[in-house]
Amino acid sequence: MVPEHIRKELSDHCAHYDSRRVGLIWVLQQLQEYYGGWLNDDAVREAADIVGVTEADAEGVATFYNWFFREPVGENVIVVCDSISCHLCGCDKITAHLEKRLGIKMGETTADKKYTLLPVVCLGNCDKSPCLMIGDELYDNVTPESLDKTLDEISSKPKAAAK
Amino acid sequence: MAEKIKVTIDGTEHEVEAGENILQVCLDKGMLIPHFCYHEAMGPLGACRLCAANIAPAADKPGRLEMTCMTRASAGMVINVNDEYATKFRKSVIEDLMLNHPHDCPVCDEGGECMLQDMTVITEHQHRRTRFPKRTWKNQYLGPLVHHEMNRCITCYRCVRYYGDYALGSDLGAYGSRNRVYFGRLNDGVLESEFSGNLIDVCPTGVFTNKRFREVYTRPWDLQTARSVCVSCSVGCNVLPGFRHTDLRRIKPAENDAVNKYFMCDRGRYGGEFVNLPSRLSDARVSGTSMMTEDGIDAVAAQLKDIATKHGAGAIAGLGSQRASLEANAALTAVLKALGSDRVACFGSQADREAARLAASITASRELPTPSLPGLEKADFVLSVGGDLTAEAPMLDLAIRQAVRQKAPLFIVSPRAGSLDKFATASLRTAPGTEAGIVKEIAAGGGKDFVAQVATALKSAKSPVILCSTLHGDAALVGAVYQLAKSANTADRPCGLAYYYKSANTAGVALARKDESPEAIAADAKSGKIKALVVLERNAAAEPALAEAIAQCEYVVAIDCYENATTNDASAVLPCVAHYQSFGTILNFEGRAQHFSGLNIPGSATMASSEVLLNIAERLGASEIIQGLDFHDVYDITTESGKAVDGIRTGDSGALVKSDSKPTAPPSAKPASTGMVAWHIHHTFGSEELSAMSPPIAELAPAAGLELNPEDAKSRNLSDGQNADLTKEFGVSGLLTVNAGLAKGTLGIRVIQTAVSAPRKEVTA
Ligand code: SF4
Ligand code: SF4
Ligand code: FES
Ligand code: FES
Repeated sequence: MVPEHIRKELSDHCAHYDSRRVGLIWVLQQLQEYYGGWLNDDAVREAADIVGVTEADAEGVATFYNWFFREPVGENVIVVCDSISCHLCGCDKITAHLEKRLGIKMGETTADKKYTLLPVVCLGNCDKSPCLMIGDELYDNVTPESLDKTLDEISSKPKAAAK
Repeated sequence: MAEKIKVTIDGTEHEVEAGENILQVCLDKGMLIPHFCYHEAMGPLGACRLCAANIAPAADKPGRLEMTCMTRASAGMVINVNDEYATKFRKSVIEDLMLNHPHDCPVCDEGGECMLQDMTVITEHQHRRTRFPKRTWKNQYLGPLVHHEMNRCITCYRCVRYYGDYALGSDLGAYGSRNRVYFGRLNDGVLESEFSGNLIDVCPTGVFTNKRFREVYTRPWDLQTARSVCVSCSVGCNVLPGFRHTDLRRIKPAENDAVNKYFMCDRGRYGGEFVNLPSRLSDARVSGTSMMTEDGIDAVAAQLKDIATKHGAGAIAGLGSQRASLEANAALTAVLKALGSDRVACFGSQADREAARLAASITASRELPTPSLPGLEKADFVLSVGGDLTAEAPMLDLAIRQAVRQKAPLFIVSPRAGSLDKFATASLRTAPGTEAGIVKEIAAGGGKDFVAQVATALKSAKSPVILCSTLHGDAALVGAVYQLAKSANTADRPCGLAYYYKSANTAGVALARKDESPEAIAADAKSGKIKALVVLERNAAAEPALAEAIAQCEYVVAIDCYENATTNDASAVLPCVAHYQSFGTILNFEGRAQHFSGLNIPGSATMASSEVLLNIAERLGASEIIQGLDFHDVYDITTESGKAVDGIRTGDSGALVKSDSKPTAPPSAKPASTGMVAWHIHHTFGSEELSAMSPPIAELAPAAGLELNPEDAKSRNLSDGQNADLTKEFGVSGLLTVNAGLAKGTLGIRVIQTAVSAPRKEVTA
């Protein structure tokens, strides 16, 4: 449970909207950050309670959006677009390269908890396919080479990595 | 009225209303555009992409592919459903939906009445091109009513839109995204909604199916079905009971725009299995000897005649039935008339009788508008008084939920919180017997707190409705509610008023011209003045006011469809078919006379109770009485439309009855008692006599027991879950539930009919 003053802040935020449920996404975001990057069952329940929606609704939202995690994830979450444009432009090659380099399969987290690899639907960046995101950063026209460079950089300055 | 405009659909010009939904227009005109996510009750969503057509804003403008369900009609619009590209597109949508759908219709429970099957055939998708494995899901346990099979889902969202958005249930959700969306509860568990069975009908595929129906393999086309009216409460939902061989296999709602439209409640849907019980009666029994019904009728007629000759006409009385048709109750009066008697009692107590008769006469006077279910949905103010709508008239609750969704304020005055209370603007918990006083305060205007809040909201409402229960025998409340509605009713602002009742035809028998208090009949039976009782479809031996009379009366004839305390004790038992095999007319809460018809099913009785009684009358030589038997003589009714009550046909919208007599003055309220009040709690599942015997309903019924408010429990040193002995104070003892949602100063007694536990008969298809 978050402390009372945070709970109040979250609840007050929802009061700004005509319908409190509009605040649900923001509340889930805050709770995910508070709980160390992912939402456990209790956190989803807490969000439902704060906002005043059913647990089923909160779970629906928490499982719909790509950037809510219902399981612990690594320090850097890589989401690779596998929708139509990126598929045509060879995202499979990118995924294969990442799986090989990180030694994990799609949906897994590296043993050192540094990277989590996930698929994502269209990032709205089709003209620069194939593309992916690492944390909050969007990467265009990715190739195995450009990817290696990026990952080398991230690995060399661990603390500065995107959250 | 919206403006009329012209649109062209596949080359033909049609006149439609501006802004009308194109898909609905086409469906109404009999053009079946394939669709899934659109449902008239829930409106469009645009999720499935199946209802595509080529739509151009005008004949000289280029058209493009659009979803018909998301398009509103505008003048000159050209819609081409049969456009080549649109046709191809719809076919491809089905192909996509079938990517993960199992190809096993022959073993699917939806098979034969599956919308996905229909749409697949219509779009002519026949060939599967994919070769990869199909996505699979785990199914959930959702309770005894609804079966879950997620692999069949096509992600149309109808289930959550019905269950959550429409019925305001909270325990069904859609989880996940892209091609992995799961529809179900958070965990295994019994669905909480009292309207969960409608999932079966709204889900276009076999994800949600009827758990009872699928238990014994039957295809829908193997069912024998005759349209009927639900017998489980006074709402009168239209239904399609389906029989196979000797048993009722399922009940589905039958569409009726004037009543229940698409849906029904779980009690009605699953409450019909009493028809299948091994305790159903098929033979007559006279003095312990089994015989053919015809022979039984002979014996009964002879015996009744004998008693009448020996002891005079006054020695015979009838006990009418609130769950039997107008015809059956009329036939009972014909039998009595043939014997020279006119003594009938249809109610369980004088209090119940007064409340129901007053309510029915107010309704039938048609002085105030009685809202139908669709009318209730449009109310902008709702006041519910005296009862628990969900438990006592379930579909009225679902209609009120629609009003609540449109932001109508909802106020509840009752002794106990029910399912609807969580949507109430404000609720007032008050002891039975005190509600009338509160209603009077509201009518008087002024007041404070709750009373003032209700009065203010009522004043500003444009289409208010007031609903009142008659199940607790409070005629003073019935009268007070009538006065309030009358004072709120003006020519330009009509105020709807609806009373609801204990049984399917309570409103009908409440309008009988001849009916006396059961206490009077009981007294005469006990004193020996009455020597014979003819009991029509009624377990009178289980009614406190009549139990002794039945036990002591010399000759009791019981006519019923199943074995109960009354038939067990009776001198003669004549079997009749159960409601869903029977025919006749019943009056619902609105005073709407509806006809229902039945099927003759092997293994059960062959006559409706009305036929049994008419046969007795005939044996008594009363053919003149039978021929002259006129509804109008027996009941104080005509119809608003002038249609004869016995001219109503099954499946039409029935007719609202009308009575010329003015409502009698309500009795003045009893002085509010200062002590604790004991009263009967009706539960959605288990309190209604017939449905309580149905195994799935019995499974959902709570245990019988007592309820006290925490304060009252504390002052008696009682705690939740303990066996409370309140014999001294109230003459009862039982399992205690401490309920904060119960009015202080009251003892609630949960009426749960003891279910006859009987295994379902094994029948091979
Ligand atoms: S479960 Fe049925 S109603 Fe719900 S989304 Fe799937 S197919 Fe549609
Ligand atoms: S609301 Fe009443 S009439 Fe309608 S289905 Fe339920 S029990 Fe039957
Ligand atoms: S398909 Fe990958 S960004 Fe649109
Ligand atoms: S019915 Fe129109 S998109 Fe589903």
